Amino acid sequence: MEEAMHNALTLKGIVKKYRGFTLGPLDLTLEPGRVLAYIGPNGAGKTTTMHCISGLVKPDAGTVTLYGAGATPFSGDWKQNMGYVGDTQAFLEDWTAEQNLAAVKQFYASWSDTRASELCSMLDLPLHKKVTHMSAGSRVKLSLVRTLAFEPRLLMLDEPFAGLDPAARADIIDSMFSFIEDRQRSILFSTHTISDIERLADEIVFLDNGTIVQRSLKEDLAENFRRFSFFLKSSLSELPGCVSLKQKGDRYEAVSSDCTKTARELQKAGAANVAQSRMNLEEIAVTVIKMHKRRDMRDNHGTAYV
Amino acid sequence: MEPLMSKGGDMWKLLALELKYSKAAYLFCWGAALGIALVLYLAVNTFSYIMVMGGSVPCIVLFLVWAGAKEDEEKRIRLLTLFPVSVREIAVSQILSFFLFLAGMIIIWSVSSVLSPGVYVPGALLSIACFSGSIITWAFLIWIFSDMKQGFNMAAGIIFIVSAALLIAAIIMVGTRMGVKALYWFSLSPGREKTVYEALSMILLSCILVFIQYNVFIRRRSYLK
Repeated sequence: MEEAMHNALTLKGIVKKYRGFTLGPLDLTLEPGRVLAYIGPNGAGKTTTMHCISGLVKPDAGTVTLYGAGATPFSGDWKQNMGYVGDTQAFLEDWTAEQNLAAVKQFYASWSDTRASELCSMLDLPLHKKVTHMSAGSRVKLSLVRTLAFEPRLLMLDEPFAGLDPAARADIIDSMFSFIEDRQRSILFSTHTISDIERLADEIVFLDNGTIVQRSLKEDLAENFRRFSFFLKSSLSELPGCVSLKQKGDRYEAVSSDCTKTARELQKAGAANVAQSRMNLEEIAVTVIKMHKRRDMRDNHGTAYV
Repeated sequence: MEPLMSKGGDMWKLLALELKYSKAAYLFCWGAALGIALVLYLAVNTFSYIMVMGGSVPCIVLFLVWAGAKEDEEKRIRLLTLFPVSVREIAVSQILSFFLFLAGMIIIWSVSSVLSPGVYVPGALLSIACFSGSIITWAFLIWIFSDMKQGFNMAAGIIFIVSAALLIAAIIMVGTRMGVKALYWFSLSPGREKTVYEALSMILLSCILVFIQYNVFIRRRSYLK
């Protein structure tokens, strides 16, 4: 309970069942001041998680706590601390951007007109245009203004940059930086664009098939994941720390999730011409998800797929 | 049980927002309902059959228009669900807003029915009672159940059973000689022809009832899943 009071977000045993898909049980915490990237393949459960947190769907089991306040359908107060920009933006379509902001404003005690104006200028938002006539980029921008103007302490973004041109993308990422600059606010965001994660995230949570498969600091991932190539006369079926191993004659190529351990093992085994190279975040993300899938298959079929 | 409204009375803010946003669509539908009723009255008042339907036709047409005008409704409810208000406040404000719209339609329907010569007024009143009853049932069940999903499920069940029973009863009345006879005896209607019209009117109303409730409530329920 004490821990939950200190976290921006605490998920405990969240389960949401749909036909053919189950999310969870999911346990997740996010500390204030942190930016957490939530990544995984399509259909992994990222949006469902965010919908459970934002109250758009009711979890079948588990609890959501935001800054110590329980998120229940019977109270809306906890939403004063939470802003959500979804993959599709809902507005009062026949009203202008300005009218939309005015409509939302009355529900938030912490709404700041100054902040809203600043954001509108920064993002070059067409305030007098009807939302229904706005481009996809402008809709995302309006959604961000609407969310950031009440200065939530937790911001959730579900693939907000999808379909945006580079200029709009840069504007929005800039607004994210200004949001987190006091290091008191937290962001949970999902994206398929690794460069966004590289720029924004402190930590990365990998989700696959409704369960969290790994959580790591961005720097740790970059530090620990390495690609190895080496020569070895003897046959090698597995290598500690490695998540994949390929052999061609006496030449091997391996991907390690624990490069120190792997390097040590290679030294012990007497490998020659050992070379290791860093992997970019995209390669690491793909490796983590594939690693988990292989584990799943091995658990289900009792076969090793290394 | 949790309080229905939050401290700031956000349900009324939501209702005001909904009415303000839907104002154009509502006014258009009411105006069109009056127009259609008037045209029907002036054009075909010699045919009692059409006159029986005189009140219903504008309602069907205009409900469709209204549903079309509110095609962004799902998105809007999604937006409201993100507001710092309870799900119950959203549901009740939506139902109240729809009830206000419906009240206007009922008035127009009643007036056009009464104005039309040969219309069986108790039939129209029965229909009005069905509509009002169903809306009140929804609001009541949402009010008393602390679990929105449970409330919606139960209300949906009751409404569909009532609608189905109405529909079956109306079919029996029209389709069987005994039904028509029974209706004739129990009815205040002076003639067999009007009794049949009354039953047809009931069929129509049952269908509208199911249609409205599917669109207005069941679709909204999906946001509470």
